[in-house]
Amino acid sequence: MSSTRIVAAALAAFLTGAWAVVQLRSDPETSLTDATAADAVPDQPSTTNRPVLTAAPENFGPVPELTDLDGWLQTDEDAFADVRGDVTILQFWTYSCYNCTNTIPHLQDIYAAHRDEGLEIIGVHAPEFEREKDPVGIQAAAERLGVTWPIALDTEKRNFRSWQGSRRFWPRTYVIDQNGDIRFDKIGEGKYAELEATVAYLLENGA
Amino acid sequence: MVALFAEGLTTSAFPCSLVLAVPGMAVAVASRRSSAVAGAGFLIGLLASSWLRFAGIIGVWPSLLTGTTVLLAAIPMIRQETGPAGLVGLASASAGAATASLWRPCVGVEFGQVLTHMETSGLRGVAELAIYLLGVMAPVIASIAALNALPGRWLERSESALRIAGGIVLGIVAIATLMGAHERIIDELFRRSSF
Repeated sequence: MSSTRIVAAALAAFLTGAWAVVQLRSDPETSLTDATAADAVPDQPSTTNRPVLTAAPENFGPVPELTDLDGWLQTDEDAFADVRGDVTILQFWTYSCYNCTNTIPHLQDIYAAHRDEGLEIIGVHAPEFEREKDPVGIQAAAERLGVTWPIALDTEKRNFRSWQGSRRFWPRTYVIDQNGDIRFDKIGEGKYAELEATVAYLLENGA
Repeated sequence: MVALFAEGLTTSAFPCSLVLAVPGMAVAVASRRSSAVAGAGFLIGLLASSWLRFAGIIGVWPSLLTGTTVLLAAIPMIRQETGPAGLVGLASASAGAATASLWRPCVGVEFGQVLTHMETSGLRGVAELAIYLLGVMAPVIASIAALNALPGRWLERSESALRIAGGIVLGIVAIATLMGAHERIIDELFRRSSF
C-alpha cells in the first residue's frame, strides 16, 4: 500500500472516529449548544428584537481583583473600583489580535443599547507581542477601532495570568454582576446574543 | 462539526496556524520515506499536548524543553535509514507535542466555544479539538499527499535534499525557540499579514 493510501485511510479513520465521539456524546444535558437556557437565544444580537434570558445566568463565583496594573487609558481613575456594584463587561484583549478586534463592534452595540441602564465596560489590554506594550500605540489603536470604554494596562500580563490560570486566551470576555460575581465567561469570538441577554437580565433583575 | 473543521481550515493561512504548519510539513519532509507515519505521529502528539494544555491539565512547556525536544526529534528523521523502525513515529509525536506549546490559536466563534468548555467536556473536547486541528493541518496533509504522488524517480533523486531541508527547518524552529526569537518571528508574520 502506498504512503498516500495510508495517509488517506488514517485520515478517514480519524475523522470517522472523531465524528462518532461527538455524535455519541452529545446528550442534551452536556451538549455545548444546550448547556444553558441562554443558548436558546439567537446567535446574532438584534437592535429591534433584543434577546431575553428566561432563567438567571450561571454564577461562576467572585471576580478576582485587578492588581498591579501598569496604568489606565481613557479614564482618570481606577475604573474597576469605580464600577463596583454595576453590571460590567470585562474583556482581556490586545489590539493586534484579529479575534479580539472582531468582538469590538458587538461590544459597541451592546454598550450603546445598555449604557444608559447602567452597563459599564472595561478592556484589560494584555499585550501578546512586545510592540503592543506601548501605551501610545494602544491609545491609537483604541481610537482607530472605536474603543471608547476605559482600558486597564496589564502590560506584564499579571492579571491575564491570575484571572485565567493555565487556560489563557485572547479574547476572553466576562460579565460581572452587581455583587461582583462572574455571570458570563467566554473564550474567543461569538455568543454575542447570550452576552447581551446576560447583561439585560442582570440590569433588569439584579444579581 | 463541519463549521469547526471549516474554521480550522480558514485559519490555516493565518500566522497563528503557521506555527503548526511549518514544523508539521518539515517533519513529514524530513521523514520522506515514512512521511505517513511521521505525519500521523506529529498530529497525535500535537492533539494530546494541546488538549492537556487547553483543558488546564498542564501549562506551556518551558522554551528550553520545547526547543530541545524539536531539535532532538529532528535527528532520527534525517538519519532514518540507520535508525530503528518506529523511532521516527515517536520523534514526530514528540515534535508535535512540543510544537503545541508554541501554538497560540486563533479563537474564532466555533473554536472559542470548544475552548470555553474544554475543561469539562472530556472525550468530546478531544474529538472537537481533533476536528479543528485536521482543518488547520489540512493544507499540510494535502501537500504531503501531493508530494507522495510525485513520480518515484524524482523523489528518489531528491530524497536527501528533502530530508536535509526538513531537518534545517526543524533546526531553525528549535534554535529560534531556544533563543527566544520564535515570538518575534510570529509577531513579524502577524504585522506583515495585517491580521
